[in-house]
Amino acid sequence: MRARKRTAALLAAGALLTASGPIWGHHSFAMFDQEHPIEVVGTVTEFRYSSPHIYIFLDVKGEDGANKLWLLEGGSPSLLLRDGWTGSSIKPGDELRMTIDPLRSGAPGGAWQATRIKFKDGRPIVAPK
Amino acid sequence: MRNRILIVVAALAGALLVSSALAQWPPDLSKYPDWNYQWYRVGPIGQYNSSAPRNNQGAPLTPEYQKIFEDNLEDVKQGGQGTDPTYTCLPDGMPRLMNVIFPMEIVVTPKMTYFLVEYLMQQRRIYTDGRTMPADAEPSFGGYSIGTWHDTDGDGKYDELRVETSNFKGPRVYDPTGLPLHKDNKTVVRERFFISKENPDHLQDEITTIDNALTKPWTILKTYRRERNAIFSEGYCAVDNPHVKIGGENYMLGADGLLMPAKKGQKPPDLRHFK
Repeated sequence: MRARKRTAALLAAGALLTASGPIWGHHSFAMFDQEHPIEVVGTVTEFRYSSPHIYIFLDVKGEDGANKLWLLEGGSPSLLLRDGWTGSSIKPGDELRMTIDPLRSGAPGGAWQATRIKFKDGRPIVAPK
Repeated sequence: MRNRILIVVAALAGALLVSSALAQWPPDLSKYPDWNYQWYRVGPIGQYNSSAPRNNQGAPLTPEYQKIFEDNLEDVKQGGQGTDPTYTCLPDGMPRLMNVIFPMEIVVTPKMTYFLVEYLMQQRRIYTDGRTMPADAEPSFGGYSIGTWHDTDGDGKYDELRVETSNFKGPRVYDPTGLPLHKDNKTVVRERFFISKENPDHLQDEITTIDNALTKPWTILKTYRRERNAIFSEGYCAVDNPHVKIGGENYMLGADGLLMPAKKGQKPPDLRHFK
């Protein structure tokens, strides 16, 4: 996978995990490997701002050069709306850099926290208040 | 004879007065506390008893249910969902509902108090009209709740709501760790709601659970923060939920809508009916 910088991502994400705590919501996130986060860079094809979880569909170029569509599960609108998130915070075509907890199975899915994703050029998804 | 007529007239007038008082609208809320706000949980998301370590949380489980809980933890280590049934959007039920992972709204009326919990748009009705537990109510995840208001400091106003809830169905667990309640669903939940003496914007819920998976009643204390600038949103889990259960195993739907394994090395589901 392009931009799969495991070592750097592990260090960065490890620090963030300590700061923000593990992801828990209405269900266990045990299917996501929270001890081995990875970084993915890709283009948004769909942004579902739904409750209890927001989903980002991200088109990611793999190490073999082939594109793969990832389903990435995040937090909830009801908890993020007070930080300024809306249904148009991310749009199809946006390029994102995301640290995610990948599915343990190796399938193209994972989980993300708002504090660990940004636009590819480094801008925050939602400017801090 | 004249006296009898007077008694009947007086009785009718009394009945009319009582009837008029019961039908009063708007109701007299002067004796009731002003809890009609949005409330946020205080403490970590998805943990029933936040005052104890996450894994056992101090639950006095029977040996049988301790074993069920530990087997559940082993499945979770592999990426499974263990005993937690809610990943397919089953309702939390009680007492898990009071984890309030997303905010809740409280509406107090003399005959009924409503708890409107944003996650799954779950609602609790606490009957405070003096009724007793009905013998023929259908069991439910949230149970049947009967409450009574109390004036604990004698100032002439209610400051505490006591609630007893029973008549459940399941499966139910306390939180995403899979801490189990007994499969017989004979749980009884007793609660005391009151405003914290330390913080007038903190509502507290002392929850005592009586359940056959426990060796003794288990009491914990939850706290909710009053939000005066309420923002409400919908919380319908089923709209985009990609987590599915097939043959007792949890899988995920991928971005392409096709089935993905959730656990490492997980086999596809049994497809014997596809021929």
